[in-house]
Amino acid sequence: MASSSKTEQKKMLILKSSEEEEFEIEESIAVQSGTIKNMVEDDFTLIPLPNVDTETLIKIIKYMKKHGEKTKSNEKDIEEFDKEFVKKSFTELKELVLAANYLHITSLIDLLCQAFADRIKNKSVKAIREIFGIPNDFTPEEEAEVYEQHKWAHEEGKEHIDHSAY
Amino acid sequence: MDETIKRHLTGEERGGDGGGGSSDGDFESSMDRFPNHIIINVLEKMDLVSLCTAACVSPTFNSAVAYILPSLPSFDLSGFYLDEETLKHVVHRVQGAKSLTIDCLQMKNDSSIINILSDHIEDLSLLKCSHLSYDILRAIGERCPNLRSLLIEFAGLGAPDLLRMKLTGMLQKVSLLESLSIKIRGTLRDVFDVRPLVAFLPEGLKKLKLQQTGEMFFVVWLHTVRDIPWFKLQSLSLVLDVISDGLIRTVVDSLPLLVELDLEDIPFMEPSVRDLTNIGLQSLKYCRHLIALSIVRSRKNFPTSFTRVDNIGMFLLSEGCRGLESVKLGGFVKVTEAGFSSILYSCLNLKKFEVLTSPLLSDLAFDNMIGVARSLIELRLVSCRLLTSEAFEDLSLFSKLEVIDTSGCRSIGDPCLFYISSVTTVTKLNLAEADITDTGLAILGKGNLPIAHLCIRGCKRVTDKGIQFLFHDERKICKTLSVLDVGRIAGITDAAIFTIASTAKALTDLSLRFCFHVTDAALKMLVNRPNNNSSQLQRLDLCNCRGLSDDLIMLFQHKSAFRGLRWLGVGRNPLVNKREDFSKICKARPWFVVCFDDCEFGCHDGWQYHKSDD
Repeated sequence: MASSSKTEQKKMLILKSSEEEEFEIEESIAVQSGTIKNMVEDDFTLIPLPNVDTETLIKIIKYMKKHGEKTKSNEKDIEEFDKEFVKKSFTELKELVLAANYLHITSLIDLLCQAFADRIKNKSVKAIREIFGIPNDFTPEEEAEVYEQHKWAHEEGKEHIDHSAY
Repeated sequence: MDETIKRHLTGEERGGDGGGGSSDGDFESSMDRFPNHIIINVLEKMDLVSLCTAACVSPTFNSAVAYILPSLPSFDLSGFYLDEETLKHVVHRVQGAKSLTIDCLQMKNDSSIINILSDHIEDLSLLKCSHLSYDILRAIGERCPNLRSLLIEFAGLGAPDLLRMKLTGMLQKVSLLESLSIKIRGTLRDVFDVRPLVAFLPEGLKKLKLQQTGEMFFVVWLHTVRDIPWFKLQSLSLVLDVISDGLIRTVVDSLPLLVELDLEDIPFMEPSVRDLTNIGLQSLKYCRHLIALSIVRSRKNFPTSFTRVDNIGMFLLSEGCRGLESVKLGGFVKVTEAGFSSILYSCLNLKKFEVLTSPLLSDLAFDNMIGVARSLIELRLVSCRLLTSEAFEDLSLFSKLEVIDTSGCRSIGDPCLFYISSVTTVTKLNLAEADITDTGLAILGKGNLPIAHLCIRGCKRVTDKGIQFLFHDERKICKTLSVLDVGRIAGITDAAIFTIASTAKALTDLSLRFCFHVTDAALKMLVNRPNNNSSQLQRLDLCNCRGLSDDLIMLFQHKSAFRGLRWLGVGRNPLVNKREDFSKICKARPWFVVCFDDCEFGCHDGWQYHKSDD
């Protein structure tokens, strides 16, 4: 019995972004996302992702495709891809990590968190608040206490720096 | 883990749900609140200082930091010069930590360290213990029975019997010890008696480092351990009075499984019969697993060198030990380029190559680098007066080279920088005393290398212009440079400091030692670096900056000036007269150290002399 010379038909899925745009992707690649994997097990082929916009979805699909073809030989290639992948603005990275979180793609979450860690490494408290969009919800007493505790490390933390002399 | 976070945050959360991001699709739609486990994931990848900054951001971050601190694998406080109170408080926050590295520059007595010892500790490094006594060893033995690795540096107390007693006491209690490193500095002859190590040898000891011991004592010890079948030392590092053939032969005989051998001697007189010769080097081939070798003769006590080793010894070494990956040779004054290059050609996996004080090493050693190991990562050629720029012609062939050190090679000039500028992987560059000019720095600048450590101390022909050429805006070096040494350069004035202050955004360590033309204005510029996109200066060396005035003390008295400064050197500087004022400042900032002597950064070279302090 002559076996078909073509590769077997790969099961395709359709991912739909919040803006209703549809993208076709092989199931074997898409299941890198835990969320999608669960839905596939419940027999879905059209997967609506109302929390992921088109732009972000395109980037995530690109990531999954690259990591889907991971073999022993192209490890360096994938490293380079990852390095380039995180060269994006904070806003883009934020959207990506929230989407990756929703989609449960562990390797992408780790990659993005590492990128955040590298970027906030030498920033001031104020800058970190801006990046993550976190308001300063300490009470003045709490803030003073936390500042005291960590003064030895970097001596900043208060919004208002004391300019008086010793 | 989600449950724990929620428990942590009840009562502290304010307005808005933290969100869970759990797998049932509970997604936080508001973009200004990150799910907590993402925050934790990010924080886990950060270093201690950044974590402390992050804790000040919000209650959420504070809890997250408190949550992960105890489980961090190691605590390296070696860049900090904490006082006893602060140290106690920091260690308390990381209860249960297994690995601690502490800089004890400010520890005034044993109790400051004894109080933080606990049985969780498996890996302990106590650096610069200038005020601690040998009794610490007893305390460590009693409180840290699970210790696997100990490194401790003492300022010599001249009491070898006391040391032996305390060390014996400790060794009896730390049976799991695998690595022991004891360094004693500062006394002329503090000879370490290794006899306790005979009676109470920890079974699993793999690494031993002693400074300093006597060659004869050690040979006797080696004879004893030869008969112990289960003793499998892999790494040996000694500072002794003399390296002899006998020592090397006994090492090879007794420790055949040695992977690393590091020997340095500091003779008091010209070695006579017992000395290293070609035969000693040849016998190293019987250490079949040897990967790292370092043999250095220091001239600290007497101007002498390895006069009985010549090229033949090097040929024998390179032939017998082809597997070497790290080689350091110092004081081999009779070896020429033929000897040294034989090592480069023979050891195909060579990653680190260092030669100190070799008056006969010429450019020819590096003449034909095409066949040579491409794996070289660190190249150090220190005080080799015959070397010129031409030695570095083929440097671009080394595709992994990260460290280049030519300090003391005075015949190296601008062309060298042309060759170096094509090695795109270089991150640490030391060109102290080289004959380079501003043009050379311009060439280096054009290479746009991601340099993190740069030393051009004593490059007398450099001026402010050279600094300007180097730190052209948008260059990588502006973002990567953290340590800069422009000491002993008369051409450095306030203009250079202005360039550095405004462009070197990641600078943490700056040495302006002996820069006579730097004035108060320069320091004011350094203070005013905007802190939002610049790092904080941590170490500043102003030793012998005669152009400064003692009015500068007013600058340091401002609470917001030089926030983050951990160490300041003001030896031989008008500020030396302001000890009382500095005292007050240090009382309010106990983690800040001011050195009134001539020490280098962090007093790393002179801490042993700081026994009587302010």
